[in-house]
Amino acid sequence: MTTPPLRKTLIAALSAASLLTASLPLAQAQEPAQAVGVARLTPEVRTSIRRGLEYLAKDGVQNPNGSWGGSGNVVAETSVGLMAFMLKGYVPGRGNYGRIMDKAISFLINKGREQRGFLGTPSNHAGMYEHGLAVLALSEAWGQSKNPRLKTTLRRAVDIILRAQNSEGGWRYNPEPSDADLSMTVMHLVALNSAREAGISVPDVTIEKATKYVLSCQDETSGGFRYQPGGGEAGFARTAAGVMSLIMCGQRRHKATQRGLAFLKAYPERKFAKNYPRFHYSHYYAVQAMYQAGETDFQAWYPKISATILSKQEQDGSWNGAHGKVYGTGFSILILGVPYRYLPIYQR
Amino acid sequence: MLQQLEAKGWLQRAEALHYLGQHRIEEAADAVRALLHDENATPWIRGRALLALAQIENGVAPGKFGKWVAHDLAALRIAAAEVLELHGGTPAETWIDILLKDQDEAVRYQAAATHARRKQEAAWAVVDPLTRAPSPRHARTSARALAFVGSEAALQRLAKQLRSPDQTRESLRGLIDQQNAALIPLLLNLLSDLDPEDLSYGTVLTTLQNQESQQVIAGLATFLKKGDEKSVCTGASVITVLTRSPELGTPLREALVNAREIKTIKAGMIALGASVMKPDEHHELFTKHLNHENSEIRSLAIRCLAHCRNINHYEVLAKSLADEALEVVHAALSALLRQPAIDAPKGRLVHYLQEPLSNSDETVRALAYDLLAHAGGEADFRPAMAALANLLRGTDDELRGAAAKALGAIAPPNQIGEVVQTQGYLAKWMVLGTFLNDDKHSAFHVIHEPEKKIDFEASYLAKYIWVVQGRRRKEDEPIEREVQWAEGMVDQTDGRLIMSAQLPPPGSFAVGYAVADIQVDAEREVVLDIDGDDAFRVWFNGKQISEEIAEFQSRQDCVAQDNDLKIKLKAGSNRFIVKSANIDHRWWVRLRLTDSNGFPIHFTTP
Repeated sequence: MTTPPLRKTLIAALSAASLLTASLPLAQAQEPAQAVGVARLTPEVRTSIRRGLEYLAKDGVQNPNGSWGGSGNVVAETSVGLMAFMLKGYVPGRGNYGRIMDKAISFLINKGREQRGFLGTPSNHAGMYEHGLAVLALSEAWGQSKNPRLKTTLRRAVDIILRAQNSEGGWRYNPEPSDADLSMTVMHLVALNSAREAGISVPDVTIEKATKYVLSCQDETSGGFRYQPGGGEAGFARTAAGVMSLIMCGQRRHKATQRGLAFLKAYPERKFAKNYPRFHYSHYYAVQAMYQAGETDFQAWYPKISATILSKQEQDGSWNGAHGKVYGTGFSILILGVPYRYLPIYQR
Repeated sequence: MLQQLEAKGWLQRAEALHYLGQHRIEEAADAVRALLHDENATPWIRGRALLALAQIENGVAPGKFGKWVAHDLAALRIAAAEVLELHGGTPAETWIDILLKDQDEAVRYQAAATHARRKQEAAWAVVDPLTRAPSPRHARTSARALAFVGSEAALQRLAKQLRSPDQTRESLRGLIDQQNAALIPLLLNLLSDLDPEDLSYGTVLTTLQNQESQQVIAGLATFLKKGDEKSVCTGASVITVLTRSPELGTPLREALVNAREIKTIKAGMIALGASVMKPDEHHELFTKHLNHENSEIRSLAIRCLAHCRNINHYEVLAKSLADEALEVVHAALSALLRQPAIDAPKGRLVHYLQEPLSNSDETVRALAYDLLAHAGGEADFRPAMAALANLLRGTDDELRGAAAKALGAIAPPNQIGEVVQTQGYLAKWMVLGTFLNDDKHSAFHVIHEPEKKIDFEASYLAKYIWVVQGRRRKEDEPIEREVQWAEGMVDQTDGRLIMSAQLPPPGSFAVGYAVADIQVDAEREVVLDIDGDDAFRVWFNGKQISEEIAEFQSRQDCVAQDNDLKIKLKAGSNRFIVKSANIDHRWWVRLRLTDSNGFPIHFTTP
């Protein structure tokens, strides 16, 4: 029997359990005990996620040191890969994928030890993105992993984020308070919220300042979000990220959030196209935003995005992504699996 | 620098030699040597070359140096003596002895300084007779020699020489590069007698700056203990300019206890108020001076308190807000604007700001509005509205705008409309949109259903196209959606109804409608001002009264205006219908009703 993580995961599992019918399908009996009561997922989506996870667990896909990928974003890919397993309720150290997940967690923790708390790849221009993603993944793993160094790693990593917030409230490419952009700010805002859920101290003022920064990126005319305040065009990916972060910060009813959601919905249908630019990045945030927006919006959105993702799956169970197969597979699973709700950030 | 060495001007050449010697640029050795031997060069420049060469080579060649000691030109012998200050080792003493007996007085002075540097107090027998009455010409080397000796007698003579007006500057030149703790009290004493405008004042500061910092701090602490106004004032100024060492905070504060002169108190507070001086440790001193008879001191005390972190500024500065001097009130309001809003007296802020809010000075009032916006909360809105409503109803647009901005910052979201309407703007609307427009405002001339009949229950099929900031993709075609009337409230205190925020996105290539109903008790003539971005057409009680289309400029504000329209409101309900169009960028419309004197009229909304 698995031990469900504390915090919201437990609440989610309990509420999900209330939806249980008396008998479970046979196929589910093999899956982790929490994977129950997920009413919305079609058999095709379940199969697709299972095949995706099998691909990530294949010999040779995960590196011997526990990481995934190798195209220069190894920390990001490892974080996404790890979250893909947690999404379905798999727990580090237990069951079929327990060892794989343990190794990934150890890899991230070792990165922090080697780099005085910084988790990103130092040579990578997007190292701060990786740092944020890794904090998110480790925060989500907290309560599940028995690794005793996890909390210390998280504390140090969060401290780096706190110290790198600039005067406008945002973050950018370097772990120091210089400039800021929406994309990086959202990444760290989400990571900080998740770390907070994991019990790491994050000052209110940090979240408030970051929220203000996100709000300052909204375009008055369209309601979409721009890359920087007053700069650039409001776009789908940026708006999805902005809206998701505002919701996470408790601003669901804020007019800016509502306008952002309206922007996402009114955006032409090409947003669901297979080759839509920054497909995984955009829809990772967008599907969460729609899930948080409410039942009606999610029901209108999810079938379209899941149909596109299913159609993109390769024979071997993987998906191609902008930064390789692990990236594509991890994010595809994270998008498809939102209704599973085993990741605390996916809970309403 | 090597090129500069060949310059014609002596100043450039001297500068180059100084740099090359200081940085020991070995590649320059040949060029410097050539200059040293160049008989066409001035003796003084050749002397500087000798010094630079010794620095580059980090020593002197015993076999070759003697010729400079015995050279015909005095400037070269002086330079040789300078070189021997640092180089030459024990054998140099023979050369120094020769130079001490030189026929030229300047050579003897430099040789004495060199000798003193090597022998310190033991050189007194040589230095004493030479420095009893030096001419201003030899003040530099004389001061240098005395400082190197460093005995009490030598320092007393140096102090006297420094105070001799015709020798001060030259003496200081001789000391500027000397690191010698014994000089610190001398320099501080000299400083207290110098006018800050005096050129020597800066030289003294530079000389102090070249001393070891801990010794300067210790010297200042001792100096402050003298306690007289002049010393305290000087010590405080030096702390501000040079050290900013928190450990000097207590000695300075204690020295200030008996200070009476404005100049001294100012210098002391400026020093103690700096953030690095831990001003919290001195807040009682600053607070005491809030009651000083001089307004400049009172406002300075406030600025120092602004740097303190562990006090409640709202409590400490309450009285200052009613000060008779404007500069004090200014300082207090500015200081409060820098403090966390959490310390403000919530719900009582308007009462707290009563004096500045009613001050006759406009800048004070503007600061008070800013503070209200900064520190106020929803609990302060009602009292603030009561206090500022007259400004909202006034004819001074600048004051009205400032008051509205402050009220807008603290108003609960559902009460901003009251701030808007009090100024005469139409705040409460029903809005509908968007209908498809293009980059020529073609749809502005299309009659849509709402122009034929207003039915707030109706919904319409309309089209929009995805254009954001003027960019349209070729593949994007118009998309159909259902649009309905919805309540729209002006949420900008400047009265603008942001159409793009009220209606579905993207807000570009769009036409929308807004309807406002107002009620007045009796028929009256009023003035209507309309403006908007990009275009508007307005109907009043069923009759079109205005149409303006601003010239389109991509991604820029395109504001159209139609002001001073005379209209007659009928008793009871009156309806304004606005058709507003946008191509890209901002999209808003604004209507304001005033009487013939410019005062906003009172009306109600259903």
